[in-house]
Amino acid sequence: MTSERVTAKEGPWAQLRELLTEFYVAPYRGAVARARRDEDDLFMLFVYAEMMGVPNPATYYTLELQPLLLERFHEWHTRIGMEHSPLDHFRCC
Amino acid sequence: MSPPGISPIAVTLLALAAYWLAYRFYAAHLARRLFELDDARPTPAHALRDDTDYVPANRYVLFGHQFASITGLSPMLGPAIAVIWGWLPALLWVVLGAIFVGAVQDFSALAVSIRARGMSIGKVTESLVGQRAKTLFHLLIFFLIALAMGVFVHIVATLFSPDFYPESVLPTLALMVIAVGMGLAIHRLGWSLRALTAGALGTLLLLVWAGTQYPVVGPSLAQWKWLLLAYAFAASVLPVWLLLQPRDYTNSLLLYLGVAAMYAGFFLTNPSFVAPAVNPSPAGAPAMFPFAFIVIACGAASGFHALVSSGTSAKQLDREGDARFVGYGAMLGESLLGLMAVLACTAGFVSREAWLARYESWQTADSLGGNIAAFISGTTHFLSAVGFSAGLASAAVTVLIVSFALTSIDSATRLLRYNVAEVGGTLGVAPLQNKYIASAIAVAAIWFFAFFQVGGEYAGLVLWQLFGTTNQVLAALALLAVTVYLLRRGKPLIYTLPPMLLMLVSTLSAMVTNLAEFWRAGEWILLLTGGSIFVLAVWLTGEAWLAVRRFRRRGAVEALEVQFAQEP
Repeated sequence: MTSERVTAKEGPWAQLRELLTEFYVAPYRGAVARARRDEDDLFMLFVYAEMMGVPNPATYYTLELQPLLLERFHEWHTRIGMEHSPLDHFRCC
Repeated sequence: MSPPGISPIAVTLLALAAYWLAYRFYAAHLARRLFELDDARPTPAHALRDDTDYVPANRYVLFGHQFASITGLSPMLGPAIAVIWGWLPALLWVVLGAIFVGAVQDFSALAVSIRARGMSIGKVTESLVGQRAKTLFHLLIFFLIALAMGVFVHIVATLFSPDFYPESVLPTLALMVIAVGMGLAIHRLGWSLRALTAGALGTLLLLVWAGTQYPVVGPSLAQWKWLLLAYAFAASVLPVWLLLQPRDYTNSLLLYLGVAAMYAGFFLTNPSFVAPAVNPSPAGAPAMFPFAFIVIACGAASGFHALVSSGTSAKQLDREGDARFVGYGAMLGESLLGLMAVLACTAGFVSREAWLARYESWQTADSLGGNIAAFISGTTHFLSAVGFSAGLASAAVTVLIVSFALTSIDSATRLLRYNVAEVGGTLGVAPLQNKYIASAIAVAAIWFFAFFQVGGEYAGLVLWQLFGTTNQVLAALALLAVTVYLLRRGKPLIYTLPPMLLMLVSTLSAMVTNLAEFWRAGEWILLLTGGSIFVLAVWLTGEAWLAVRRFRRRGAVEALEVQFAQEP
């Protein structure tokens, strides 16, 4: 859930909504973001499973997703502790 | 006997004036003179912004969060015990302690933390004092949390039992279901928070009423404890967005509503003190000094707060100047709740006889559940002035208290779990990093204190004193870290050194008295636990002293800044 900045012009209700949203989100922003990232990391693993020699029955579908996830690939492999791309035929950096 | 004519309302107004003056002048002076807070200087939230941990937040939101995080069961329970020495000592310590010790500690921990890239006080201590100090600090925190949560589990189980408030069971359990529903509706369905908030609070109010019609009287005290421990385990391993986040949110709103209603009721009731102003030596009670300082921890000064100030809030402060409002202001807010507890337990009783029946001797007051019940009955008396029926008011206050205790239990179990995982990481024991194993160890530590008995009875006040001493030792150490920081920056020490010494002397002398008592009574487990805390406290103080000497030989302000800047 994201909060959008509201200006005073939009009235007290909008301000109240933003204040409540911030109040809900702020204390757990980090924890929720990390949990989401962990889920995303697992998803990345599924998508690239076949390339790493792990049979994946959904390869036909996940293959389609690879170009979309390419932008996050570098961040992912460095975060999980691999300095370079783990895939021989899939260069990254 | 209270001098006739002293009205609790007049005393409260004086206390409120003291809070205002302290915030307006004393805290402003500290911000300017001691920490040189400057809105032009970027805070960690801006300088290190990552939209995850480091995000600038609205000062009112941060205040609300800081206030809700530091306020648990303790500011209500401590004063409810300490009024045995009369209302005046408890009230003075709650008000003056918060102004000169507690709020100074919270505020300075926050101020030092924003200068140190939002590091936690443990990390700050490591930078200032050394690696060993950080490990000792973590050990103390482990003791502190496990002990407090053990006591909380016991209190909630007591309040749920048929002799106390079984009508609070249904709404409390329902609140958990509501929270999970809210978490799912927000994160999975994208529902509006405003509508959900109104719905959740409305449903809860209905359920409080339903609870009075259908009290749950099944499980025994021990069974409730096991159920609560199982809940703590589940809450620790569930995703935060599903339970913790919505629970914390609804609880915080309940807290604000509750405190406002209690004060409104208090002013409308215009009660009189039924307790004596000073009761210097109640039968069987330990000496007022230092024990009043130990029994009232939160509400006046609490070391645990430094963890909240320095960890979470410091990373989200928009401007340096906001530190006063968030750090100092939130502690004054908690002190207000402590003050309400003093008032409820000294002016909320119907007669002096009723007060004496509860507080005649240390033995009659030796039931933590009973002390919380005194707070509940006092505030119920006040709330009836704002239109609540007695049954509904006591159920509502109990739900508020129990929800607080439970929120503390679930976030604390998670904290303990992280603590265990960190120790596992340091020692290279991989299984300890597994969330289920780490949670199980955390729950086992809480279990130990939740069932701890002395002479066939639950240890109660003894454990509460141990908690108080550990917490106050931590407060002294947080103030010590700040004092060392100020020393290294060549700032005056008059604002942090005397409160630190007061905390240290009162806790260490109380510990020595308690240890001698445990030794005489042959309570070896208590002696071991208390002794370990004592050794840790003395050791940490020694480490800090060595750090000061090291610094005197080669220290420089620039070295400190460089050190802080290099920390991750």
